[in-house]
Amino acid sequence: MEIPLRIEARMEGEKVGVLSLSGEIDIATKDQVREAAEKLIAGGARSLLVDLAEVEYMDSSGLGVLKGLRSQLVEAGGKVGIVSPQSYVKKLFERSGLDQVFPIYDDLGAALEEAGR
Amino acid sequence: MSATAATNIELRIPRQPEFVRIARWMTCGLAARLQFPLGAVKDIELAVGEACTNAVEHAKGPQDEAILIRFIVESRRLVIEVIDYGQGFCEEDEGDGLGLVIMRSVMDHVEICCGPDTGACVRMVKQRDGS
Repeated sequence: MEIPLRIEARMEGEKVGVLSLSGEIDIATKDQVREAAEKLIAGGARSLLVDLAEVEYMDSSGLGVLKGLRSQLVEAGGKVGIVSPQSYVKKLFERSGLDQVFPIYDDLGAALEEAGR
Repeated sequence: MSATAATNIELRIPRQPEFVRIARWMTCGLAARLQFPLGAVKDIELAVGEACTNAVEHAKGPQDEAILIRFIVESRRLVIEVIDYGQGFCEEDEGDGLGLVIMRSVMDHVEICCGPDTGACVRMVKQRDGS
């Protein structure tokens, strides 16, 4: 069965990792997200920007992974930012109260600018 | 789909992560067929996904045991029951509780029944406004 999630991972500078996700983040794909993020962290990322512009579906499985990554990075002085979520996914953050936990950016440029400060 | 009497539709999936998506897809198709607005279709899909995810992650017992998703189509509402036949899970088993919070935010009513012999049943209701 095809797993409908594509992940592009890259570093922006030495300390910011960017995960661009496309497709669905659910119980079947959440571990791919965690593994890709952990590779960036192992490669030196202190903060992560997670671009959700192309994510059509996400549930508590995805939120749980993001919460775990945030805990890990905040402890080390970093953070996790959410970039360009589609309206339904953005509403998911609001419904779960996590819009008060994660910074949510309209575009990657603004997120990178703040991450570089 | 006219429904003066309730119509029952059932789907059984293995209690494995990759099959939760199948339940979601079927839910979308049925909710659209029942002429729920697009936002409500996505809400119902999300709720069924969360209930099935709970069953996969928290029900105890062999993974090849089934999850039963039962759709009860009534004239004024859609009732969905997600039943696992493992040893069940209760609200306190549901990790950080995000799944339940989300289910309750998108459905009109959510209740969980569980027991050591019968497994768990998440029963959710969405009103069919305008029908």
